[in-house]
Amino acid sequence: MAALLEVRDLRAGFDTDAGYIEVLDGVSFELASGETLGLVGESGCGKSVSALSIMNLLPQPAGKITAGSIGFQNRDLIALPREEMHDVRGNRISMIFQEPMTALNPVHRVGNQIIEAVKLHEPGLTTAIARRRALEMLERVGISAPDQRLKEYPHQLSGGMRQRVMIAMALTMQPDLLIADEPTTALDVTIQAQILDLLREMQRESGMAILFITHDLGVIAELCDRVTVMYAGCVVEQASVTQLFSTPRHPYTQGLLRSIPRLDATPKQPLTTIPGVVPALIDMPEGCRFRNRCLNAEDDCELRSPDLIHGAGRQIACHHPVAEVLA
Amino acid sequence: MKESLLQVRGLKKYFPVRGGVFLRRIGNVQAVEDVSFSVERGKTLGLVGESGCGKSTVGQTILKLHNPTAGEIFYEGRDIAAMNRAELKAFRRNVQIIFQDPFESLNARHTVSRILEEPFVIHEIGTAAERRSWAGDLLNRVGLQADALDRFPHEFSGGQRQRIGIARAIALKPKLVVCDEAVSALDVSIQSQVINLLMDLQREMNLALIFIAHDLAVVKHVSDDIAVMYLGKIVEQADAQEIYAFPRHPYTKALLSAIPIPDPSRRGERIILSGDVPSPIHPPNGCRFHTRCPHAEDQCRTVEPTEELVNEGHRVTCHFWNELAKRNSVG
Repeated sequence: MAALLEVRDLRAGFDTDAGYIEVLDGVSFELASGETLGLVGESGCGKSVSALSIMNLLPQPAGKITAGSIGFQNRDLIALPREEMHDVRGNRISMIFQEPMTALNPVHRVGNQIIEAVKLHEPGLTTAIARRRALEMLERVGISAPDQRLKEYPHQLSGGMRQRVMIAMALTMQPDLLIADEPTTALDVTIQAQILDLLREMQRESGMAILFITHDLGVIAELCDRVTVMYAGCVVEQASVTQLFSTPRHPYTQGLLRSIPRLDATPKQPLTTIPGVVPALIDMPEGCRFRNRCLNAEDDCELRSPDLIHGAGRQIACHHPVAEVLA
Repeated sequence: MKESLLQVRGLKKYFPVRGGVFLRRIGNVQAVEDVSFSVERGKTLGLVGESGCGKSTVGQTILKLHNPTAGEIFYEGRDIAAMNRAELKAFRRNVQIIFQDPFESLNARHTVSRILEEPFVIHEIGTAAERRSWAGDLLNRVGLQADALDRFPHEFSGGQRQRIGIARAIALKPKLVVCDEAVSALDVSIQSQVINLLMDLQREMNLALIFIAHDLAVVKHVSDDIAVMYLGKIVEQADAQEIYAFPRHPYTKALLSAIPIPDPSRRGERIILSGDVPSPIHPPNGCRFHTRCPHAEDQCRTVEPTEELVNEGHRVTCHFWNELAKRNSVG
C-alpha cells in the first residue's frame, strides 16, 4: 500500500545563541491511510519537532529544516509554497496538542472559534450553516448540551471537555491525517480513557490516519498499529505494536519497556533502569547516540552511527541488537 | 495496639471562595472531607486519585502547610495542633516533603551546597565545615558527585534536580517523607532510577513514605497500603495487593481499568466512566461518585454511604459493594 505520509532523512534544528543545534538527525518513518502510528520517546528526543516539521510550524525564524523530504499525497511538503501549505494544513492534516487551554483563544467563545475554523476552510459557507456544522461536531465528540457550550469560553470547560473541542475543530475539516501531540498527557486516566476511545471511534468512522505522539508506552499499546521509537533525534526502532512489545530488539526499547512499573510485577523490587541520562543536544556523542547508556555497546558503536536496517517487518538502528527473545 | 507513626482522623480542609463587591466568602472548596488513615513506621501509604481529589491538600496539611478546618493529626501520638514550639521544631525535622516539579522547588539563586546546608542551619546543627561535608555525603547518597556542590540547580537535568530535592528532604534523617507526585514529571528511564533510590532510602533509614501520585502502576509498586480518593473523600483503602486484586468500590475498579497497560494483547475491555469530576465547590449530594457511577441507584443520590469493613484492613465507602461483589461472582 502506498504511504500517505513518508518522512525521509529529515534533519531539523534551531538557531540559538550558542549556534545551530540539530534536533533531528535523519528521521524516517511512514504512515499508511487509516493507520495509527505511535511516535514514542522521552523528552527532547525530537517527537514534537518531527510533528511540527510536517505541519511546517517550526517556530520562526529559529527553526530550520536542513535536509530530507516529507512526502504527503505525492507532494513534498517542505518544498510546498506557502499558500498550498496553508491548504494542506487543516484541510488535509489537522493537529491537536497537549494543552488545549493554550491552543484555544481564551477571549473568544468556543463556538466562534469553531465557526471561524469552518469558514476559513470553506469560505462560501454562511455563519448559520457553519454554526450547525460546529454543533454537529460537538455532538459527535460527546459534548453534552452543545448549544450551551458554543456560548462558553474555554476556561469554563474542563480539561477533558477542552480536548474534545480541539478534536471537534480538528475533525470538522475531515482531514486525511490527524497529528496528535501528547493529547492525553495532561488529563486524568479516566478522562484519558474517554479521549482514546473517542479517537478510535472517529478513526473508524472517517478512516483517517493518526500520528500519535506520546511518551506513554501504555497508551501506545492501547491505540497504535505500528510504533516508531525515537532517541536523541534518531529513530532507533520501528515495528508493529505486537512485535515491539513482545520482542523489542533495540537495547533502548528493551530498557524502556523494562523500566515501567507493571501492575503484575512483584512490588517493592528494584526496577530495571537505563543507567545515565540522555546526552545534551549540544554535546552528542560520536557514533551511536545511545552507546553511553547501552549495555550492549562495543568499540564499533563509537566509530560509526548505525543505520536504520530493514528486516522481518521491522527496522532497527543498532550494531548489536538484543536477541529476539521474549522481553 | 502499637502506636502508628502518623494518624489522621476526620481531617477536613475547606478553602474559601471569595466574590462579590467586598470579596466576601461566598462558598467553600471542600478539598478534603472527613479523611482518616494512619501510616506505620518504615511503611509506604499510597494516596491516589485524579486531579482535584484533595490528595495534595492532605499531604500539605500533614506538614502543617495548611491548618485543618476540622479533624486531628497525631504524630507519634501527639496532636500536631497542640504541639509547643520545641515539639513543633522536632516535628518539622522528622516530617519532610518532596515536590513534583524539581524546576520550581529549588531556589534558582542558591548553590546546591547552600540548598543542602540550609536544613542544618535552620536547626542549628554542626559547624560550617561539618555542614559542607554532610552536604557532600548527601549528594553521594542520592547518586550525584560531590563536585556538584558549587553548581546551581539550572545546571542539572530534571532527574538530577529531583535527586537534589530528595537529598534535602533526607538531610535531617526524617521519619516520614511526603512524596507529592515526586516522580510524575520524570521520563520513564529516569523515573525508575528515582523510584529505586526512594525504596533504597526507605530500607536504610526505616523511612515512612506517603506517596501521592496519579500513576497507579507506580503507586502499586512502592506502596504497602493504598487509599483511593475521590472528590475529597477516601472511597477505599486496603493493602496494596488486595486493592489491585479485589477492588470493591466502582471508582477504584474504573480507575484501575482505565490504566493503559503496556501490552497490546490486553487491549480494550475498559470501564469508561462518563462525564467529568464534579466541582468540589458544589459536590453532589449522597455519594459523591453517583454522577459517574455505572451502578448508582436512588439511595446513592440522597444518602451518603459510610465506611464499611470488607475484611481486616480493607475498608470501602459504597452502599452496594457487597451486592456488586455477589453479582460479579454469580455472573
